[in-house]
Amino acid sequence: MPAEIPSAAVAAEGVGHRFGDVPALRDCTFAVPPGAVVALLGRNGAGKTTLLRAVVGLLRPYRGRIRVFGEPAGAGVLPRIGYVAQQAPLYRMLTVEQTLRLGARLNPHFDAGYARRLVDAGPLPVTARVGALAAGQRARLALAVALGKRPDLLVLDEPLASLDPVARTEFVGALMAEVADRGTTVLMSTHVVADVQDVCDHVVVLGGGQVRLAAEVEPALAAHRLAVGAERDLGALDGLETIEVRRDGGEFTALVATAAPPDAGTVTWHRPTLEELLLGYLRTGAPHPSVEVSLA
Amino acid sequence: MTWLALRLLRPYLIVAGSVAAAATAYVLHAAGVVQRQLDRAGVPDCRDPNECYPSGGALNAVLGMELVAAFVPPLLGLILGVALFAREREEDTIAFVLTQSVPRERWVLTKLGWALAAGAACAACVATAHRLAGIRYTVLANDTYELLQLLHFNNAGYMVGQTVVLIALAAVLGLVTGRTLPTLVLTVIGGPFVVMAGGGVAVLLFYPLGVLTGGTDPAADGTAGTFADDMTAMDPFAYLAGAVLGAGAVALALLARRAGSRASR
Repeated sequence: MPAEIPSAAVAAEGVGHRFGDVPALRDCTFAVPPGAVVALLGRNGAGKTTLLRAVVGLLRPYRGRIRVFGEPAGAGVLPRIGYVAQQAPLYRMLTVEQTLRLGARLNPHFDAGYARRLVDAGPLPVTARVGALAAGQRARLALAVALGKRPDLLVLDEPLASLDPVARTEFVGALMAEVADRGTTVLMSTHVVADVQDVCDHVVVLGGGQVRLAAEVEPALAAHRLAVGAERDLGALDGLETIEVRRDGGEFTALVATAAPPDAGTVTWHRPTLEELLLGYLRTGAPHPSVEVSLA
Repeated sequence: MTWLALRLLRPYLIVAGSVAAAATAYVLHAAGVVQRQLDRAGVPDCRDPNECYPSGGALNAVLGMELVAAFVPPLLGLILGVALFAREREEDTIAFVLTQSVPRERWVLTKLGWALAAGAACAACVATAHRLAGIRYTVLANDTYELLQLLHFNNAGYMVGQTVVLIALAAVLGLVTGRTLPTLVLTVIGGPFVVMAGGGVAVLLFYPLGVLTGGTDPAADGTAGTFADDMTAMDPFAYLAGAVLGAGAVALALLARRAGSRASR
């Protein structure tokens, strides 16, 4: 059951949305504690972008509600949100300098000096037009504008997708510095499991428009086990909450939601890595019945 | 906000301004061509096609003026309206601007307001030139270009209204579809219907009032049936429509400011 967190940075309750006849989100419920760095994972078309756009108020879901810092998502809380959309869309005809100035014009509390330092650290040529920047540079500029707002919540839609390894490290570094300095809550979508490692302390896994897992990383790892054994021993999983079973040459590998696996039999149990846990949820077809949220 | 709106509109403003300037210049030039023919014929003040029907280059000039009056106002509407929001949605820059601290209503109203103001100003130049310098000559070929005249009614207010209505329609369609090409196609297809509907309602609302406030009712006064009717019949409506459009643009600008200050509290 979803835990109600009155002070949640983001709280989604029964959120549903569809594009024509195609459902994009179905009964999504989760909460993001303040100060958490949350990875929103899902395969292509899982509904990540739709959910993030609903969080920043760009889209009004057909069902359910989203609250940001206790207020309905929308114009009222936008000054507290920094958002970088997929592909970091910025006005291509403006220069880097003009884009920073635009950020200051559109946001009364914009920290122009901080944004400029982030740009200079890039380093980004301030006289270059945005349209002439590489995708990674554009993402960095978009992040600088978003962070210049000094937001309490940073919403990033696949921010690392277009970055090379060095730019990725720098981007994550700037992000983590912001989190460390100001305790900013970060909600970041990705479909690359490796992005999550070492960065996020919470995960929300979306599949088919539904939340399959919403949990703090460490407790989630502790609450799952990976079972490996011969197919004839599948009976050992009876009565356990099995997330995913894969068969390969007479053997099976199963992700099971249990902290204390049964002792008997030849099945071997071990604590999953974060990648194994997330891949298990990403591959499975059915939603996880228990959506838990823990405070940071 | 205004800076950004004008910066984004700049290429379209340049194109629209150039089109309006070229069209205005052409109307003035074409009027000169017809007048010179009348001068050569020794009837400089003739306004009766039965006596001084233009020919050759002068007739082409009349056709040109009719084409300008019929198609330049809607063209200005398309230039300024189609890309207004459709392109923002297409490139998703709207996701950037609508997630800043400035209220969305203010952004939409500011951008739309400037586009409407620019469109109205450009169309007004063309329409005024046509009304003051062109109509006295196009009336000489009324029957020949009757169909083209149905597109502008020799009315400056109607011509400006066409531009304004098409900008507003294209803006709404751009916001809804989020694609430039469909917005263009739908505006071209739907625009005439919306303009006709809007024009019809406006005439019903304002024309009788125009008559009451001193305008000419061609059916009632002694000038009915003269060729001058076509030039002046819709003038009261044009003045009123112009006043209403002007007041609307001012109201929109004020509304944008108020929406901004209210939402940022």
